Amino acid sequence: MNNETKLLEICAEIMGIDVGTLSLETSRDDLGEFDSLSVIQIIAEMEEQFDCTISEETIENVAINKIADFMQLIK
Amino acid sequence: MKVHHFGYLIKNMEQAINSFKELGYTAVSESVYDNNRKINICFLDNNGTMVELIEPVSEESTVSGLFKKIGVAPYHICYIVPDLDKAISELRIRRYIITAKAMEAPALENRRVAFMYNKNVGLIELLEEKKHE
Repeated sequence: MNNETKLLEICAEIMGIDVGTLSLETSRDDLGEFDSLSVIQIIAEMEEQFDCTISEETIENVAINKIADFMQLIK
Repeated sequence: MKVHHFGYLIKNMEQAINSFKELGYTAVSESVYDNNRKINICFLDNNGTMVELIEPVSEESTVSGLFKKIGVAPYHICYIVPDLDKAISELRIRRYIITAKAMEAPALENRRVAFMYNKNVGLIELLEEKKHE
């Protein structure tokens, strides 16, 4: 499973929706479930599943407006 | 870590205080407005168990989105730590993410607090202790 597929599965699980309804272009405007709490939960899950530590500086500097933006956190 | 208080999201401060008093709580502070977070805060005690009532007062409040999601509910536990910066560093290693950086809390004598999230624990607040605590 590649990182993008894994990210979509994380997002679907956190937001409680079917992964088939999500794409990397899904934005916060598209989904009420895509709120600030979900963003924090997704980042926490990404650290675990991608086995990485995402710095506060990175989190602050990356604006999360759509799902694809999460990928910038692990580049 | 020693628990300092449980944080409750509430809708109306006056009504919530009255309802908590019916459960045996006593107000131990005035309702204080926190301009950083755009919330009203009041602390109540029940035989050593402290609750912090948190009322979002505008859409810009740091908890207005959460309130829409979960409504009136307890949502964080606050722990006292001797050194806030050290505690944050140690918890980062244990996969806690900072959701609100260290800042002074007007309702807590301007002592520094920070909020962190962990997938297994949820949201916690860290409160830097006073010398005598």
